[in-house]
Amino acid sequence: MQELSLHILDLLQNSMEAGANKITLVVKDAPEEDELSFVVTDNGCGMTAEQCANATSPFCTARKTRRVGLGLAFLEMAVTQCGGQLRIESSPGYGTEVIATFSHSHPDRQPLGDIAGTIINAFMGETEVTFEYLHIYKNKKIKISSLKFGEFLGISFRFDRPEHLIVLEEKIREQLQTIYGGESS
Amino acid sequence: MNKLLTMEDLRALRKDALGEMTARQTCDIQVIVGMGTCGIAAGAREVVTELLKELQRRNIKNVSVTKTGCIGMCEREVLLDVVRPNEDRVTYGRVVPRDVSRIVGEHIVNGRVVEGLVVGRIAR
Repeated sequence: MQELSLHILDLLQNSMEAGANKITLVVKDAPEEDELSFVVTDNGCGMTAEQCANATSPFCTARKTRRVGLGLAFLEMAVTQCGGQLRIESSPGYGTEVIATFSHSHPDRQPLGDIAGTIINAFMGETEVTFEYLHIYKNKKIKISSLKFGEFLGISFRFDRPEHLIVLEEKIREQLQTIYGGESS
Repeated sequence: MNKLLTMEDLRALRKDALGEMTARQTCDIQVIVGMGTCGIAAGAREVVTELLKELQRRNIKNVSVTKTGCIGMCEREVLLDVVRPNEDRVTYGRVVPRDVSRIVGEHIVNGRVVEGLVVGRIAR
């Protein structure tokens, strides 16, 4: 994984495999505080304290096709190589929250990458899921919610319609452009 | 420049969308992309983005794109399955964005399997 947004895609995928239908992604890009962080919160099946403690181990996985699960292990590596922090909070039946914090200026911090592409990929085909995305850059922020976006289009937004996804992607890119104004994270 | 949409236009749009939705459920071609950690690390996101754009460019409306988790063939990711009604399910492996237009043009539109990229087939 070469971008933080790919780790985010992996987390969103985990949430959906945990049966979540409500997912929130918050990205905070704060160079002035030397912080880049993201939080993924879901209402999926959650994990027990023991599963939670082992979640970043490559030999702990819920899948049945192989005995290794590298998603959170990769994220932990990306976090520790730049002096960041990874916190996983979860309770069975309620959901899970993953919080990753990075040192913004660390030379080994991966770039944030293509967030718009990540979001449309994550929610593609998921007709039962609603999501909210909040992106904060310095003192500016944008908020995109799948429910409101449907209202904006005037039709019921569907994640299984390629043409709707493309509109969503453009919208996210455009909004990010307005808060970054040509700078990059 | 288009005029602002009136309420009537919006209703017509909605009706179109609903009509399309039912048409979609009946004559679907399905594309399924592997989006586990292995798929993501191998570049599934870029493949899907290219696929959505290609479908848009060709104005293809009867294809649904969905994703699946890891199926155990991690070394052959990115895996992309095409399921046409009444035909075998074909799995393409090690797909990169530049393969997408060929898969769409040959297989999805014309029903000719791109043999060079096939890694598996499930008889219907």
